[in-house]
Amino acid sequence: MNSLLIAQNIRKNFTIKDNQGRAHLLKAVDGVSLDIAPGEIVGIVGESGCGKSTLGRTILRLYEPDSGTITWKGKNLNSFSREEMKALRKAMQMIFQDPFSSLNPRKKVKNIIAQPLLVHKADSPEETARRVEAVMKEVGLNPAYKRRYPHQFSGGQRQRIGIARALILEPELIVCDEAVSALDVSIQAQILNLILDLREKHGFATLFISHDLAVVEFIAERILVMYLGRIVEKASKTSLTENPLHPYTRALFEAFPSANPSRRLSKKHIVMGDVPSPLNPPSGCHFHPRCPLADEKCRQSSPPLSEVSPGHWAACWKSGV
Amino acid sequence: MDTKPIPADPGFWADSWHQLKRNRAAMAGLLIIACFALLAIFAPLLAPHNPLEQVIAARMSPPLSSGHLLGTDDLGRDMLSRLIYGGRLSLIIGIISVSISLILGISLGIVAGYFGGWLDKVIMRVIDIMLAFPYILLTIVIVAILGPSLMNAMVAIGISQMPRYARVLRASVMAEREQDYVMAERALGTSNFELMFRTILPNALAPTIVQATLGVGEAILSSAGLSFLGLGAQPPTPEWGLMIASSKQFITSAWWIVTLPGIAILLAVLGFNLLGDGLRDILDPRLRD
Amino acid sequence: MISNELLKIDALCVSFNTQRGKVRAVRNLSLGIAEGETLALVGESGCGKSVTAHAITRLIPMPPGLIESGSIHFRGSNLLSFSEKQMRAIRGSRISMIFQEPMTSLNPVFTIGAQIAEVFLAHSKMSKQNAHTKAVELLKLVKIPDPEKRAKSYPHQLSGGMRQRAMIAMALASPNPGLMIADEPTTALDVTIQAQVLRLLAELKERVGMGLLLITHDMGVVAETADRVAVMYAGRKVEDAPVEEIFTNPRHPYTLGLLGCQPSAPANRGAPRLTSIGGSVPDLLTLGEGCPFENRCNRALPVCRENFPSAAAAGSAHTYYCHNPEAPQTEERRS
Repeated sequence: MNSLLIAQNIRKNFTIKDNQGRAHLLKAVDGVSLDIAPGEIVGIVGESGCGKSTLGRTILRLYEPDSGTITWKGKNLNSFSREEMKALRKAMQMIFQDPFSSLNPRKKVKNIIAQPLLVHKADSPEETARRVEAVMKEVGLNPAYKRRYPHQFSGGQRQRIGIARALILEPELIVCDEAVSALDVSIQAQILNLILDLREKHGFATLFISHDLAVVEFIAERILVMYLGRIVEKASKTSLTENPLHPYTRALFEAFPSANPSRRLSKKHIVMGDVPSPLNPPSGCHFHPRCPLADEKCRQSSPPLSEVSPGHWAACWKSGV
Repeated sequence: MDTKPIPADPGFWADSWHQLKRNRAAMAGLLIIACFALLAIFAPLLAPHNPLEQVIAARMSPPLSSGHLLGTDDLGRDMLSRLIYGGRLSLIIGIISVSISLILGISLGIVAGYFGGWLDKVIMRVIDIMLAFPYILLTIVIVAILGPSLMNAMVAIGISQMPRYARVLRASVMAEREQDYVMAERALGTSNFELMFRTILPNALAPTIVQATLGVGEAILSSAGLSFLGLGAQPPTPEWGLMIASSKQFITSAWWIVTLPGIAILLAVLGFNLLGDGLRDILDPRLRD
Repeated sequence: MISNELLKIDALCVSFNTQRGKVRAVRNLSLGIAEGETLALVGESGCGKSVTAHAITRLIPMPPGLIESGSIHFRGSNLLSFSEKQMRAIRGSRISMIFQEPMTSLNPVFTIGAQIAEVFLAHSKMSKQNAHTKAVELLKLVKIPDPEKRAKSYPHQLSGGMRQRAMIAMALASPNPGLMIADEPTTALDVTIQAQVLRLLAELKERVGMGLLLITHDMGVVAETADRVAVMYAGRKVEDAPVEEIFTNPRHPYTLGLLGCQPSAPANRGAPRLTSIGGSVPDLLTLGEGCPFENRCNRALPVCRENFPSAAAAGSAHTYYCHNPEAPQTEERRS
């Protein structure tokens, strides 16, 4: 496959000190591989602490991975020169979750949006101003508001500012980290549609990270399910929704409240137990303490991510391989 | 298209000014400071006499005596003129020593807060050591090393006030550093220098500004103290602290010679403290709507 | 309309005085909850749903807040006429509240067990030992594993889901819980944990027989737990109906829009774009007497700008407030 970005066996650990001063190793991302084709929307779904945000930031090289390789258009990032790395920063952008903290409160909107151009010294001041206005129009912001400050906009409008900032350099990959989670549903729908419209027009690839299964299911073409730092299942959207293989994926689908009162909670099978602390994950398959199918093998050894049917991968001893 | 009407943009500083105008205590402080500043700037025009001119015949005239609104001191120098010229010096001392400590404190605080790690540990331990000394003792020690003069007094006050600014700024830089907008600009490839001074500093500066206005009052007080001890301004320079020091023996016989400079110091410090307290309320984003 | 009414809010108006002017957060709101019923109060941020909850418990900071008019009857007595002392006796015993972020509503320096025992001790006479035993029983009831050990834990030692369970246990510790107000109780939780907590709430509600006022923005949560739904928009109630009716036969354009923009709505499955509502929520400061949804509504008439419609009935328990409602659904639109 002609991939834009391939990440192989990425590991990212953090050292956390507890209140007695002892250091603990947090394996935030524990050997994850993924690939993104040009123009593709890949969704990553998982609960808090599963490492999905760390993975997104590691791919953008905001965090240095502890091991693993990232290949961009067939070239290993480790061999990139400074100039190439800077050019790569232009090609990869990010949209953040919190539309309130992700914009510098002391900067005018036009300066926030123009920041990428200024950093990369892309254009003359006139050209910069023209591009800022053009991109504001494109994301549905009135260019007349370009001299305003972020706090004068509503949450949805601020998220549009964040999108404009990510879009202005015409990137080839945008990482959306919970980009719509802080928004009201009616605004969330507007922003999701906007991302889809812009993707159609500009053809950038998207890594869409969210805890919200319905959002990922709507927007993504391929979905990766993460649990405690590992990918437990990856498949195309249709394959995953119609035939979820990993018990955790099934539990997520079961637990997700659907807007349909005829599927009442009382009739559902709910997975019990808490999400274990990522500081001290269970042995073997991380899901085994909550899994209805778990047996001795699951407790002892961690199942590899293997291709169960073409394009549908699952990390489960019980997935019928 | 999102067409929610947005209120007209007053700008951050215009908005702050608007808030300041509604804060009576801060406005009173600002008024006091403005009066002193005008008196200091136009001292040659406003002072009725030369502050150094000695008229022995009229020595120790009480306030409201002919030609001397606030009386004269033990050497027959006009008190009002000396107070006006003394204010000039005291304000300059306050502003220069706070500027020295701001430059030092901001540099150390932002470096410690932004980079963290061992650099932070080293800087903060040094600052802890400085804080372990009583403030006035530290100032006196530094002046004693540098030699008594007005300039050295300002440097000494600047250095001994520095730790508080470094600490305050470091704390707010550490909080801002974790914000998403910093991460967003870093993701664009913005340099460390630009992130520190263009992105983080403006957002982290508010508590330090407040601290600095309070610091000006304190610097005036400390320089008065140093002058009183003979470690700051040297006679016959008119300086409030020195004026008190050199006339303390007249407190029972000619009260105004000691009391008036004391009242001047009190008013100036009060002005800066009122303004500082007001700014704390205004610049704290949690207290804005 | 409801015979055994637990809570009845009538024509409630709540406003806040801000620097920029008077914000009318809740306007002319009437609601009823029957004994043992779950009413979901749904709407987006700023619609007044949390203000309503705080008005019931009289926890609105006054000033700047002001309950301008209306009445809130709880089992027949008007809460708005109660003294602060009487209200304190009601809060936590007859009416309990659980919040979105349980960490902020639990005291960090006391153990979970001690905090629950405290509720027992406050409302009835018993020994400390006895109260502690009952606290452990409650922790077991809310399905906290290893309740004896957990009773000795501090809030920060528990996970988010467990803290929310502890909050629920505290609400149940009162001698006669009549109404529980749950303000976004699962918004901060992971979906698998959310499902557990929602099921727990439903089970306990059956067992104790209390009414539940569930405040949420999530239509999925509504569909799974509510008996009846009241939809709020910009301080106004726009529709009120049994849960099946809201999902299958919404009459107010906002309700329909809200359902349509859920990514999990059946109509959005496989669609290239989500159905969305254009524009954004109006500024409550400048809102006039008309329908607040008028500027975003594709069915708006000139009259919508003039005045807010009076209640219209669509069946015995279904009311809506719209000049130009959506057509009724004759056949069920389930998928």
